[in-house]
Amino acid sequence: MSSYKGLKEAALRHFKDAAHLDSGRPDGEQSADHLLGFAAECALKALVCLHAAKSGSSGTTAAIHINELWQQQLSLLRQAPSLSAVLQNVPFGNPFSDWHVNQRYNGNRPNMTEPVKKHRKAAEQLLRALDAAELLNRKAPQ
Amino acid sequence: MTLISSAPREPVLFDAALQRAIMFAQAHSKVLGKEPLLVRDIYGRISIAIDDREPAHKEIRVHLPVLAAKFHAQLGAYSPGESESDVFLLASERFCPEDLFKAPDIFSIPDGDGVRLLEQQLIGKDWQREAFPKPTCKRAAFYGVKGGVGRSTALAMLAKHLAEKHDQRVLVLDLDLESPGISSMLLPGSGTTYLGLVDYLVEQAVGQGDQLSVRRLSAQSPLFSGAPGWIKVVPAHGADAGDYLSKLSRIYQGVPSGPSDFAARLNQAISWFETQLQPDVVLLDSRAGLHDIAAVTITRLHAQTFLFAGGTPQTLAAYKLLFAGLHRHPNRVRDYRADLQLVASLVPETNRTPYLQKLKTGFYDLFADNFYDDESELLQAEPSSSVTQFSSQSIPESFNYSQDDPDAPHNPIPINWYRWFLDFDPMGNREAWQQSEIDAAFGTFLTSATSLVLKQ
Repeated sequence: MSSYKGLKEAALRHFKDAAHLDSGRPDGEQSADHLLGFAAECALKALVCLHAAKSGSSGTTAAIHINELWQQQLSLLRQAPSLSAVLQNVPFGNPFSDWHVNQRYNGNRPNMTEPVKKHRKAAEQLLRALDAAELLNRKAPQ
Repeated sequence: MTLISSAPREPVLFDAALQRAIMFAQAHSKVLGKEPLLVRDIYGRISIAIDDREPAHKEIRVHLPVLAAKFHAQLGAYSPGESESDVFLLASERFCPEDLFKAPDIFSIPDGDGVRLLEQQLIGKDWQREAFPKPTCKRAAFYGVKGGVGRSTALAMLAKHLAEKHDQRVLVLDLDLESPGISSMLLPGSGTTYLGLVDYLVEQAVGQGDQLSVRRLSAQSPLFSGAPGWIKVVPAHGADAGDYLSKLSRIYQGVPSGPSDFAARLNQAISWFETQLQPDVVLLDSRAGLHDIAAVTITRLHAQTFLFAGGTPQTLAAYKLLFAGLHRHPNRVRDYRADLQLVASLVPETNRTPYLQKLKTGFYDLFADNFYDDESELLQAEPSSSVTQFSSQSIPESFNYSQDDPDAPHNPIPINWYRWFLDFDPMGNREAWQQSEIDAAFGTFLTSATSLVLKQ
């Protein structure tokens, strides 16, 4: 499993690249959307790492992507009081249910503006929750 | 052979750690900036936040490893670690630096010479934040740092007085959620409601609080049955409380896409009841002790707050803790200090004057230390440019009272205790009440409290 530090850096990098694609080119939305899914996945897996470091659970989530990870992990993470507090702005419903890792094989898709907007907001909410979790407990795993 | 033993070092404790961190930040202000920001995590460990996005701060990173080691050595267990990444929170490593550097909960530490603090707590921060918009109706809160001081009885008496003598529509909300009581006093027997405030708060979290019928959540008290005034009560729970503890444990956090913290949930709930029932006055029976509900009620709800106190040293000591906590946020104190009023509950039958004098003296010191302006500081705070164009408007308004000022908030409004208090139930056997006895016990309180509540 990747380290906490690596997952956080990857989440920030994917989001930054997605924002770049989303802001510059009309045809960048579809690739931006793909990266937003990975940004959210890495941020959520970093939160799982934080939780696992405290709970002693394995935190194994390697083979699962955000479309499944959201429902599988967030309800568990919300049971931890400290993570419950930082996740209060993260919605219960899964904004990535329409995202799939195999969409990278798709041809060009029209009408990507709304999905990108929704996925970007959700990825931002997870990344901000990660920021907040680091403040709550400074003994973050490396 | 000589055994050299070194005495174990005394551990650095919670309060000392913050003092050491403040001194450290002051001593290294050239590197950390004039207003360093400390962040204390949920276990009390302290970090230093640095906005390294600014060009002036780019060069400081070279100093951070040495500073981190020094900081760790000084704070002991309250340092998050000895490496640079443990001690320092850098803006460049965060997704949204503004969430940290512009956090609304940052405050300047009193006497900290510019050092600021951001507390990280799972609960207990709501009360430090800005007050909510002022409601259209009047609100009053009843609070006692210790329970069993006749707070709820006084509330019931004031509710009746306002409805009966001043034609007020009075809504009573039981905020003593961990120890509900006022509703059983005002809605005896089968008169209670189907649901209560905690049910509203739980349903609010899943977005359906406003779909509840207010008629299932409130009931009219028979304590006063005339018109046009009335007394309606929202209890903590309904006749069938259901799994009350499970519900109670789910109300103290913010809601996704809804109120961001417990205080916002509570304010939204109170506002909803006010909109639905259109009262003139809302009386909030706040829970006793140093608790979130009490702190939020005092600091954010625009309520005239009656602070109930007996004459025991324990009561004064507990209020000292509360006031000192409030005093840590002096900018917020200015918003609500004029709404505070001490009430001397259960004043004994004998030696009343010295009892009240002693209480007044003790609370004068607490109010002066924590809420009253230091007039010498106010004069110093005047801008020098105002000297040439001096006018009465340029003098900062002072909030200060002499010890014996009868209108001072530290001067207790008495509720006189009598032996018949032991059996007193506002709802029970009302024919047996002697109005002269009621007046002797509650008369001064009802007159003064009514004046304070209605003048809002």
